[in-house]
Amino acid sequence: MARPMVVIATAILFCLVGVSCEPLLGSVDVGSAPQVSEQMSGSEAARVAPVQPLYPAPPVLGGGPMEVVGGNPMLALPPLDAGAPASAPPALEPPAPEMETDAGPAAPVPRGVVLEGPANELEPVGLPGGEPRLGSCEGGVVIGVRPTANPSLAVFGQRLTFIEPICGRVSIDAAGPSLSVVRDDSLLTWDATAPLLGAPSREVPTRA
Amino acid sequence: MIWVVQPTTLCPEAAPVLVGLSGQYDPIAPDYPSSDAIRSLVIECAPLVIAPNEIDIVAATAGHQLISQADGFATTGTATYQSSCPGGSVVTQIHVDAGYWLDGFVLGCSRLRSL
Repeated sequence: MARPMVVIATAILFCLVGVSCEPLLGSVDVGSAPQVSEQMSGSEAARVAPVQPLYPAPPVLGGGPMEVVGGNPMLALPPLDAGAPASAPPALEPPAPEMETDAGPAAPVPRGVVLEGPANELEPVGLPGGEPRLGSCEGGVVIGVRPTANPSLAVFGQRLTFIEPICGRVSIDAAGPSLSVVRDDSLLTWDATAPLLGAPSREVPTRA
Repeated sequence: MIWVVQPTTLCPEAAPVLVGLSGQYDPIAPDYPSSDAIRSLVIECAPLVIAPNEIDIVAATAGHQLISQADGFATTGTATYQSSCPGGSVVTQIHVDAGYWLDGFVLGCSRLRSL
């Protein structure tokens, strides 16, 4: 083999084993994409599918087609249809399966109901007499009564002798705009502030 | 003289709150003219509704029910009485004047609102 041939063969071998050939061949840009021709025939343009945006682009003032300045027509967004409704963005990931997580919304709880100020007393029925007592449903409402009566046909019989309120608690259901009223005997209080006498006696007083 | 506790009278689910009491009575008791005698008791119940402002809770103007216990004590009087909460308020207290028997009562009415 002649000497020049040996030199050329050695250079080719260096290039094949990965040694840079730049000193031998000069600077070569092998990474840049080939420029796409701005000129494209109609049939070629038809074969190129337009790139759909992931999210709808904001409307363009004036409603005209969007212009791409200096860009590659293959990457241009299609003209916006000003009359078409905005489409929902495609899902990037499949929906996660439903599961309870700490980050989820808190379970709804019933809302409380309160009284607005002190009670407004109506006109009395009957006459004042005997002993005054005031039964209140603290924070609740009266949902019924438990009367006591003297059904005897004797003198002072055939009449009611007492009325005791039955209390309930009102709340707004968590599931929706509806109300619940639940009996709650713990709400009943008897005012013992003078001249009121607190809780009523359950025993018939002995007549003098 | 005896006291006999009568069956509890409760408002129904459709009209769950008490808004009034009514019945018959003798304004002048024949056996004790210085007092009266309440002879029967009927409870007036109303539905509760949420007002359009979504804050006030009021007794509905429609759907009231008058309820008395069939097995409870009741007899006739010479007059009727009625006491009812106005303006969507509901009964939250009862002031009772009673000794040997029930002389009279005063209903206390309140307005409700949500928290």
